[in-house]
Amino acid sequence: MGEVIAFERGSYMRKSIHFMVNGENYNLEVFPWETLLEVLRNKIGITSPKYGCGKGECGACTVILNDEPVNSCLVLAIEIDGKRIITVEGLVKDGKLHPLQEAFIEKGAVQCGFCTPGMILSLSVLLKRNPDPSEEEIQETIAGNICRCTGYVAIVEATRHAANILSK
Amino acid sequence: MSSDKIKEETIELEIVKEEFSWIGKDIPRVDAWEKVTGEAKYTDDLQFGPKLLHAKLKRSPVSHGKIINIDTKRALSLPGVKAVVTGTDFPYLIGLYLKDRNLYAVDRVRFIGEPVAGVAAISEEIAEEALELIEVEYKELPTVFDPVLGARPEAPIIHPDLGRYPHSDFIYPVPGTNISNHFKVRKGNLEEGFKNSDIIIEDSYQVPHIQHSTIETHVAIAEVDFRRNVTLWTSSQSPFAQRNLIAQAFGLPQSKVRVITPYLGGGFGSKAGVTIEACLVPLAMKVLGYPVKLRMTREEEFFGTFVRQALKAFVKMGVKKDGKIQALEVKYYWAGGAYTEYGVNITRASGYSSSGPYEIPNVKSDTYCIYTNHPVGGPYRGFGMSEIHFAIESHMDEAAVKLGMDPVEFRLLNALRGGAETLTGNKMHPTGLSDCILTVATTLNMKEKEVCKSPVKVRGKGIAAMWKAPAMPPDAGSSVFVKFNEDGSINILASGMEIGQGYHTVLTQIAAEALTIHPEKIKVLSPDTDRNPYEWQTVASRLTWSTGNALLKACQDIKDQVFALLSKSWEVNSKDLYLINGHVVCLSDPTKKIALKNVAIYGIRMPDGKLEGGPIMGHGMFVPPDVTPVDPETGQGRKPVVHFTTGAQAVEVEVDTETGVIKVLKAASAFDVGKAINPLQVKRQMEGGLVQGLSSALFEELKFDQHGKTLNPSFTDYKIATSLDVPSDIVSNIIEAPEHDGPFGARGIGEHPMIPTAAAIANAVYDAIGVRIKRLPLSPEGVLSAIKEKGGEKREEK
Amino acid sequence: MKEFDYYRPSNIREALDITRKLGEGGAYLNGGTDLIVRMKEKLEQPRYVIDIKEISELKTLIYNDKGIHIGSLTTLNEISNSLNIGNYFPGLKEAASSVGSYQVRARGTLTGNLVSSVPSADMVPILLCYDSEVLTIGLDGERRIKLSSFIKGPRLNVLKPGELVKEIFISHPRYSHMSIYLKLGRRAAVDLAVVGVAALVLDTPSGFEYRVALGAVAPTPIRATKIENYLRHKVLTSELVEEGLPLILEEVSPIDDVRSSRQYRLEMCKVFTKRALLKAWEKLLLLREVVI
Repeated sequence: MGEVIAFERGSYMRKSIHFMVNGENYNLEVFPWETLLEVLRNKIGITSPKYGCGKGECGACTVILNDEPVNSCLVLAIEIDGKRIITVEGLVKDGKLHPLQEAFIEKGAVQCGFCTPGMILSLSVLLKRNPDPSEEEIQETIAGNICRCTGYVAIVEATRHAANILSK
Repeated sequence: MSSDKIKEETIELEIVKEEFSWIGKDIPRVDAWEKVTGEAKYTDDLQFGPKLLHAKLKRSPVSHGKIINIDTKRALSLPGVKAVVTGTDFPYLIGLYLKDRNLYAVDRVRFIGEPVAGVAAISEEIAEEALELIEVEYKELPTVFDPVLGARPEAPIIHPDLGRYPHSDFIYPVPGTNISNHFKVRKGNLEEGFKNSDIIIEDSYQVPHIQHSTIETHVAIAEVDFRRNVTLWTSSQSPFAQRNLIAQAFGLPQSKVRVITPYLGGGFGSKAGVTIEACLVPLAMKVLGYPVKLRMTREEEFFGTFVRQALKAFVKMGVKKDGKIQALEVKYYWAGGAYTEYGVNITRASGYSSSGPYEIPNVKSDTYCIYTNHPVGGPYRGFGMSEIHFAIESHMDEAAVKLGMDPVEFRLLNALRGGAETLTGNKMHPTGLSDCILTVATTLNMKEKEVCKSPVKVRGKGIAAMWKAPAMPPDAGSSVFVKFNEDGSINILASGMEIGQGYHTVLTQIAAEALTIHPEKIKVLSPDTDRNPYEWQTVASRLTWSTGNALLKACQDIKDQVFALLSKSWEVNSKDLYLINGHVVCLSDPTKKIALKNVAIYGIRMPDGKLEGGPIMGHGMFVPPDVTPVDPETGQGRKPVVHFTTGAQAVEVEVDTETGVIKVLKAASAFDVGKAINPLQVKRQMEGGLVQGLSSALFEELKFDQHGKTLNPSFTDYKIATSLDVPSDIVSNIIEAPEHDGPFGARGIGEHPMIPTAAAIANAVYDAIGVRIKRLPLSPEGVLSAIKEKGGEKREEK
Repeated sequence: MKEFDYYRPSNIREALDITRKLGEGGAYLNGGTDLIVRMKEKLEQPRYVIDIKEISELKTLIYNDKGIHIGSLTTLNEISNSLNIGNYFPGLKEAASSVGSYQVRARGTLTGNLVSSVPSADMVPILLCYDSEVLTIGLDGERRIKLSSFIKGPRLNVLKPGELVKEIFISHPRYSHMSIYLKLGRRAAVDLAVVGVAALVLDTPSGFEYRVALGAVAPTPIRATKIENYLRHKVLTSELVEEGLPLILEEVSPIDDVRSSRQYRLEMCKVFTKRALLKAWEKLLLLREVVI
């Protein structure tokens, strides 16, 4: 079956890329049209970034690319050569959860959980930028992370809670 | 005393017991750790290795037509394509309440987007390319899009075979028409009722098609082995219904179909029954031994799965000057879409609930499910209740205005109380409905009108009440196994789905309470129909109640077994045995104490030295105990449904009179949940439901062109609420009037928080601008033109 | 996505060499928030893609006494967060913050928004108000193009095959000024504009000058010069703006589409123009008081 792919797409180049995910190094060969989301999920086996729309409208595929949250469905894998990626798994340090993860559990800010990884990543970048964000800043940060279950109220509450813990 | 009696007594005992260790406590969700760390696996996260094939569907570009010819030869010869399937390969019917749907279209297509062929290939790209090589020739037929026109005898018929479709005995199709179900309620004497009325208010309301927009799109993987055993991994709310319907469709015994359902990324009804699996299994049958995966794109979600049915509602209400409602006549026309295999029961539910939660002596209600050439209507959080409550609760406010009565008082005056007679002629059980109405009215200070600083913005407050019963067949059963591990922890095997509502947490708390085991030592396993016991479906907000009851019985089964063993071993009366902190203790002999783990797996020695007992496993089952059918001509019955969850919401809005933009500033909810097993999670349900309701009220509408083509199948043009659209001031109140047959008195709360929202917002908008908008969504454009029309009227009056 | 080849040059010359060699059918990839969506939807199917993100010459964001040079790689978040832009070109910051989501703005660029040349491009009205210039480089050398002549129609602009935008230059208005961008979407955030209005009020010695530009209400974003002329050198009042508003309708030509009706857009052109002008005016007066 691999042969057919080679036959169909053989005239296009595959490129070798080197990048880091959650502190670990990866060397991979990718086709130019593969997205970062596909490569993370299907080639590396990190499945916390989710497919929700494929067009940057829902934020379920959010990952942190060199310190900024991005929609990994709109990034070509080939573009991340030499870059650092963090997914929600990478927020766990030595088995200890990030304060946002703790707060999401404590405040009941998780329901179906499908938007949760992207949501937490967006917020983790906010808390780095601004350790004491207002409700409105929190809401603005996650306007691109659509949640259909929670109504966002618990998420905002959890983020404020995490900020309080972090500032202690 | 028989063991049954003991069981009953114990369950009652637990209801009256006031101090609970785990019930009513805000324990963290048991699935949260996995979900915040990204460990939780959803269907799309499962890995199937290099043998995995990818499926894509060829869809109809015409909304109603005969299929003249399908040519798949070129697609089949494309390198990398493994199978192509069309309707005639497996010309079977499928459906939950009415078998009206083919797996793939056979001979006729009925909406734009209907699958006519499927391809399985080694990559998604090749499968997609193959679709373009399939040639289909259609002959177009006349279409039906409007449910009222569709119900007329002269309308083009969408399902000429309606009379031959098998259906449940409580569904009443009208062959030779587009009416796939007609449910009637006749109570009292309508004419008399209107004659006794001082004021008659008549109006109509409209609700468009919307879509669930779960963030996880539908995805499934099927593999059929060489003995034709089907295994299906799917994002589904209904593993057992899937198994049953697929087995029935293919003529297989149920045991040859295995359905495995990991975590679900949101359901809201869109993943109930069978949707995309109907197209996937035929493909897998053509490539034995290969797993085949079908994943909907976001675009396909909007026409390739379920949408919410649209509604045209006609309401006529007669009221006495003192505010008592005398008569109600409603006609609800549901636009069911091209197939109504599931939707027919929404029509039924909207019939037996058609009055809203009010005591009305004379009622005539006709609800129709009508075929249209739009995408398939199906269950959506609320199962028809959000839609009819938009009509009824808007109408209640209209009536209050005409009466010159406060909308809160008007509702309280007519609200159903325990013992009052419902429209179907049965007695309402004890309910906290009036408390809910009062609570939200007080929370929002309904009597006070707020003034806005901006001269172009006005504020208003609105309220709406609701009721909803679980809509299900009378045999919708639940069953549970509980097994011990050597460390004294337990696994609960059940087949409800954790779809975000907190099912696993609720079961954990119930078992923790019943067996005095710490929640950390309890695991709830996701369904696998080969291993876990039967559950009908994760729908109707029925699981806390239904699986909860089954689980209590399973726990009781364990206690019975353990106590029987120990009373023999310790030579004490089993009535003296109790569980405390995972230990069995004896009331009459305090020296007797043993940890459950020391008896639950390895048994225990009897006084004569012999070992008795062994691995203990509890089982329990529950079916709705006393539901009876209703009269098909009058809808009257002794107990048509198990119970009603009731509630109310109030909102404050600000309307920009220059743009028509509505902002919801504050909201309050109150629902009678019987008993909140986990109050924090109940509140979170209330918040989430309210925002989903807000989103449907303000933004959501599937738009179609005149040919029935969906115009906005994407998040670019189908907008759902973001964090910035939500009021930061939401107050959620829990009211508890215990459910007599609920576990610890609990009843469901999953769907309900979305039901009154749209009506409450519409009522608040009326309060703000003095104009009633009778069509959802309350779009800025609609609001603005309503304001202008009113302005025009005023000028004319001058 | 259809197959394509990918190049990542490290300077402009290299990029141009690639286009020269490979000919037509290529596309420049910047933030990708528009191009990749269009490639997925097969609305664009380039044979090859040149990723310009490693070209350091395009990474500039230079503020000086002439104005601000915004290199092509400057993201919308960088614009939102730039203090100089916030202080001296406030409407630009507002417009940048109104685009998409935080994630989209982290990748999407000012140049990309302009080059997409869609009628609803949020950055264009404000760039029009500032009489910005676009500096491009192509196979025939550099060009300096007035923003007002850059966009030709929906998704059409004057860029020739292989030509790319180096920077957008906004000169300081000669007098103290205030600018603003107001946007009406279908919900509070992450939406395309149903109507977007930029307004700029300039405090000249001979009186106030007003600039207004609108997006999503014509085949391209447009300057509303008729109302600008009507208001020139007058002191702004609510009544005065009202008088001038009908002039707006002579210049816009909105369509009916799935996002809004033509009629509603026409109404909103007036409402948002009035609001934008009055708000910019109020802010300018406030600024003057602070200075005094």
